[in-house]
Order: sequence, then C-alpha cells, then structure tokens
Amino acid sequence: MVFLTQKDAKFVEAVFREYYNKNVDKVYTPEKIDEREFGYFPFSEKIMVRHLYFDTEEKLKDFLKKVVPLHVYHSAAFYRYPSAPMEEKEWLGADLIFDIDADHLRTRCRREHDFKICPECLDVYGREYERCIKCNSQLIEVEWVCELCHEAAKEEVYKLLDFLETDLGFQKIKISFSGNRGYHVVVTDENIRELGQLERKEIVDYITGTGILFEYLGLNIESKKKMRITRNWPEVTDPGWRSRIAKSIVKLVIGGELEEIIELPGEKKIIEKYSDILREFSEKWSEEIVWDSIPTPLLKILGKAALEYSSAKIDVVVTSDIHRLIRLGNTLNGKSGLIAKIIDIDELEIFDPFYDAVALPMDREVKIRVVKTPRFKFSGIEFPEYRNEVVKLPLPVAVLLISKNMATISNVS
Amino acid sequence: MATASSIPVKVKYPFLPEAREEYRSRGFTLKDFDDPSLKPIVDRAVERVINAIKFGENLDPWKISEDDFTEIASFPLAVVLVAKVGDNFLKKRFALTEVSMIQKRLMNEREEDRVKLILEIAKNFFKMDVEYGELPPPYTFTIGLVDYLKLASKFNDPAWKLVNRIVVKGRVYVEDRELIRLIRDKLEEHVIKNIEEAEKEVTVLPKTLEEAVRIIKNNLPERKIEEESIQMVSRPEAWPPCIKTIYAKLVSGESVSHFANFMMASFLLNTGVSIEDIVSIYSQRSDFNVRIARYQVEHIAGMRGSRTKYITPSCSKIRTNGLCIENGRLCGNVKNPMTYYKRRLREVIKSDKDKDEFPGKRREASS
Repeated sequence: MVFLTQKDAKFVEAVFREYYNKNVDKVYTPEKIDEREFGYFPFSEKIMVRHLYFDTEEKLKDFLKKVVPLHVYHSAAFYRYPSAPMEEKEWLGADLIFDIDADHLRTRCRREHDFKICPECLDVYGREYERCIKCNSQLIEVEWVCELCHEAAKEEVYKLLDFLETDLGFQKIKISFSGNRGYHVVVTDENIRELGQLERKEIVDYITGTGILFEYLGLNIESKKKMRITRNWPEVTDPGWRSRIAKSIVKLVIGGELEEIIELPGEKKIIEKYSDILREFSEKWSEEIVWDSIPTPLLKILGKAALEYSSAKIDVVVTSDIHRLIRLGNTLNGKSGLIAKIIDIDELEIFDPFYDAVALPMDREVKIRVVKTPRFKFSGIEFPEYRNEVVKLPLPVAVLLISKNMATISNVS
Repeated sequence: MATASSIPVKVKYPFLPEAREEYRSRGFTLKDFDDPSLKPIVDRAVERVINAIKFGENLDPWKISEDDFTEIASFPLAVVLVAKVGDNFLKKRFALTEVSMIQKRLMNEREEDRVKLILEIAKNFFKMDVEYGELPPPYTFTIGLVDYLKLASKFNDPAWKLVNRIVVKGRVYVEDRELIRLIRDKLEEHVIKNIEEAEKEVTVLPKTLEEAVRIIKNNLPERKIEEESIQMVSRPEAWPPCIKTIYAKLVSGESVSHFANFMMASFLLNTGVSIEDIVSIYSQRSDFNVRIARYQVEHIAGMRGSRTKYITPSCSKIRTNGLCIENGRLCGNVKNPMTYYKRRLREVIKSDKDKDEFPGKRREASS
C-alpha cells in the first residue's frame, strides 16, 4: 500500500476530492489533448491505469472530479488512436521531455533525512535495514526533500536550460515542478516532434556529455606529453562544450571544488600530489588558463571532473522514451499533496516548492501522529523536529507527512 | 580528362529539376526508344547500369558521354531499366554508384560553384535547413539541429556524434565535405525512390528496352552465400546479439560501419570461418568489391600488412562504437564477444548431444 494505513488513504483521497471539485479549472490542459494518452494511479491499488483518452478539456476535468486520482499523467506523444493498445496507437510525434530528480543527485543531505519505517510498529530504521526487528514486516522507505535537495535540482535545471537554449536553440520550453523532488522540462518546438529514439538519444548524450571525445575539445589527454604542444585548447569564449569545459576547469581549480567531485581514491592521490601546483594555478588563472603548464595526469582528472561538473543530470531513460507519460501540470502529486506547478522561467529562481506549490488550505488543522521529521519551513512557518508524537498541523502539512509515510491519521487519540 | 567546371551542371547532376526539364521538354515516351536514332541513349543507359555493377563506388565520375543530352537522358532511362530488372542488390548498387559520383563531382567543383550547388541541392531541392556563412575554419555551413540529427545519428563514427560537434543556437557547424556526405544519403534515398516509382509506373517496355534489361540481367554477378559452410564451422546460435545484428544487416545487403565490418570479420575468423566464406558474406553489400574485401579480410587474419592477427574488439570498444545491444543486458557480464561465444557454444554442443541421445533412448523405451 502507498500509505501507512487504509484510513490514511481514505483521508488523503477525501482531501484530493474536495480539491478537484473546487479547483479543477486550475488543471493544465496539454496541447492537442485529443491526440494524447492519459494514465493515472488510483488510491485503491498500486497499478497504473493507462490508454485513456479525452477529446475535450471538459471531459478530462469531469474525469478528475469523478475518479480523483492519486497521480495523473499524459503522454508526451501524440497518437492517432490514443486509447488503442500500444502497437495500434499510431505514433504521430512527441514533445521532447526532460526529468530532473533530486533523487538522482548525489546530495549529501540525503543520508541525513531519509530513513525507513515499519508500517506496523511505526519504528524508525536506518536505510540499510530491510525488515522490522520486532515484527519482521517489510520496511517502507521514507524520502524527505529538504531545501538543499530542491536547490540541487534547480541547479541542474539551469544547466539543462543553458544546453537547450544556448546550444540547441529551442524556443518553446515549459518548466514545471514535479510536485515532489524535481522538475520537468518540456520542449514543444514543432520540428522536434518527429524525432525518433535514436535522435533523442543524441540530445541526451549531448546534455550529459556522454561519448564526448576530449580531442574534439582541443584537450588531447590520451596522448603523450610531447604531443600536446600544438593542441587547440578550449577557451571560455568558445561555443558549446568547449567553453563549458574551460569555464568548469577554472571554477574547479579556483573555487577548490575539485576534491568534492573526485571520488576515486587513485585520482584523489593525484590531486594531493599536485596540490602545490593547483594552489599556484588558482592564484594565476583568474585571467587565463595556462594549459601548457598542466601536467598530463592532472589534466586528465580536470577534464573528467569538468565534464561531470558541466553536464546536466537528467534521467536519460525518460528523454529517449518516445511513449513516456509525464505528470499532468497543475495537478496534485500523491507523494506530497503539493501541486505539480507549471513555472515561468523567470520565477524559477525564487520558486520555493514548500511555499509556491502549496495548494491545500493552511487554515484547516488536522491531528496526526508524526513518526519522525526533520525541522522544516512550510508556507512561511517554521516547524520543529517531531518524534513519535500527536500534533495538530495545518492540512497541507498533514497531507505532506502522511503521503510521505512519516505520519498517520490513525492512533491519534 | 573532363573537369568539373567544363561540364554543364545538368549533365553532372542529372537528378536536378533543370536536367529533368530538358529531358521532358523533348516529350519522349518509352516507346520512342525503339527508334534507332535514340540508340546512343539506350546504350549509355545500359552502360551506366553495368558500370555500377562492375565498379560501384570506384566508377570514374568523369567518364561520361560526349553528347550532353545523351548523358542527361540516360539517367532517367537507366532508372527505368534498373526498376524493370527488379533486383534489390542492383537497386542499391546503382543508387550508391550514382551518388558516389555526385559526391566526387561536388568535391571537385571550384569553391564558389560548390557552395552554390550545395545550397541548390540541399536547400532548394531537398528543403534542408542549411545556411552558408562566415564561420570559424574549417566550417563553412550550418545545418539545423533536427535535420542534422535525422541524417547523422545513424553514423557510428564519434566525429558525427552531436556531443562532439559545435552547436550554436540550434545550428550545427559542418565542413563542405561533411555536408556533402549528409546530402549523399538524401540523394541515395531519392534515387531509390525514383526507381521504386518507376517499378510501379512502368508496365510494358518496348522491344529495345526489353533487350536492354536482358543484357543487364546477364551482367548481374552470381551471388551465392556460403551460409551453410559458415554454419558448419561457426555456430550462429551461439553468437552474441551484437554479431547477430550486424550479420542480419550484411546478408540483407545493408551497409554497416567500418568498425562493424572489422568486428564481424575478426569475430568470424576467430570462430574458424574461412576467408572465402567471410568474403562471400560481404558480396551482398551494394558497394562490394571482391578485391578490396579479400584484402581487408586477409589483413585482419594477419596475412598482410603488419602481419598482426587481430583479435575481436572488446565489449567496451563495441559499446563506444554504439554497436552494443541493450548495453550487454543479454550477455551476462562478458568483456569480449568471444567469451560469450565460447560459453554459449558449450551449451549448444551439449544440447546437440542431448538431442542426439534422447530420441534414441525414447525409441528404445517405446519399442
């Protein structure tokens, strides 16, 4: 089950029902709705219902009010027959979609705020446990999203946007908060619709730097020292990846972030070996990189680190999948009760999910049993750490904690 | 020898509208080719097709008819003849030969003519999103991202990968020769489409052309694949998915990358297939040249050149070249296709033995 108890599911479903009854007009309608496949997760079971079709906006909205989905999605693709089985749908094209999820980023905070919980005893366990020691129940994973996670995801969105706009020249770009831990970016330029899987994979490889050959960037790190003399070194003013690599190397050396990116012990050793040279570089490089003075082993590491630093961490499977379903904009996310809000590019910087994506009324309070939370700020209010206690909390906070399996509405008396 | 600038554009590029116009303006129908005065055109058309069979990509692009109209008219006529021969290999071989000549002619043009022609063909004829502009050398043209991806993403050479290109605001920088290479694929498609249209449209041929078709058929090479003998030695059911995929392409006459050819040949050699049999697989390719194929296979076998016998490339090399299937998911942690083959071979041989043993036992039991 998605929730800790049946009662929790019923409670959240009722809240969602009320929301859709009052606010269904806020739901976003994708372009060419009659060529899209829709799908949803019901509250009752963990199975996605797919191949739905609505020829009008009204029918979609009536459906949301009637069915009240836990999650609702539509296809990035356009089909002649959206409700037919996959092989009979007749694919007509698809938007180009990107998914950035804080879950895939190596944020350091994750270890601190994620844990496991026993759905029976409500005991808290570390992430390494599988079963409850007391009752042997399968533990449930609890994933919290903190400010650091949100900011890390945003950072990746900015990197992605730079690729999409500056390099690839896309014009129609839509960003939305996923409603939980990440962001979706959708490119709707008409000429990209017909791109197949292979072509989309090329775009993915461009953005993630996969298959990049350093020799094409002017960094021939494979060759012997002697061979490097005539290289056409990348400049920060060059276009595309050349400037990204040059800028990142400067940032890594001057900003001293190199050690955070390098993980392999062998490479760490090399960094230590050249620490004096690196310090010297960081003082001299503010104007210009003196490429020829970088020893080859160090250059190799710098190149690799710069690649890691500049690439955008997108979910590579999502983008190359031409039949993918994505969350319908401005609907409730069943993992948080927050809204999967469509955001203006200019608003992204100040966008705060725990403020701007709050859709349920703050002035209603609910009594819940909270198992464990970190301190957090929600809708402008600071909440303390809670540990196995019954508290009265504003409705959206209660729904957030219940949806994340950190709290239950059962056993509150 | 003729050079690019001394020959009219419509003669060098017979697919262009102005060449077609010239041909059409004379109002010929196929029946008219029974007229002896048009025999030079029929002869040249037959020669075009037979030269394609004989020389393929190596055909000299400047060995053409003295008379401009004969040269122009022989192209659409050759297309009709190829269509009526109805052989898939010939279709591809003819298209390949014609486009490789066009590629060479374009490369041979004076720079300003070349730019004009490239724009004419790419922009006006194929409606490709191509611009000529002041770019940092060696680049001369930009091509729109979507058009670039549609044409280049099937190439295996890492130089074509988008990530290794300069891309600015949705425009991919390319050199002349690269753009011509991309146009070449469009042209090949175009020629094949012309042949396929002719297949549908042309029903009956006049006598002279029937005779021309017969002559061409007589010139088709005998292609017999020694599939059986390959299967005797190397067991295809034990081949890894990457090898199976390339093999399927080769025997259907599709062309594959240089690396894929090398990988296939070295794999087969290492499983004990003879050079003869390997060369025979390559004979299905539309750009087949027996001398070159044999030389290359012998080279890989270590009989020529550096005398190194090449081992089959590793999985990681294969992955880099984009030829790994499902990222090795089906192969169970092997690092070289040969390891996969040896493991599977053991299973295949074992199941052969089982098959041999069980039916016998069953027969005994039932009797």
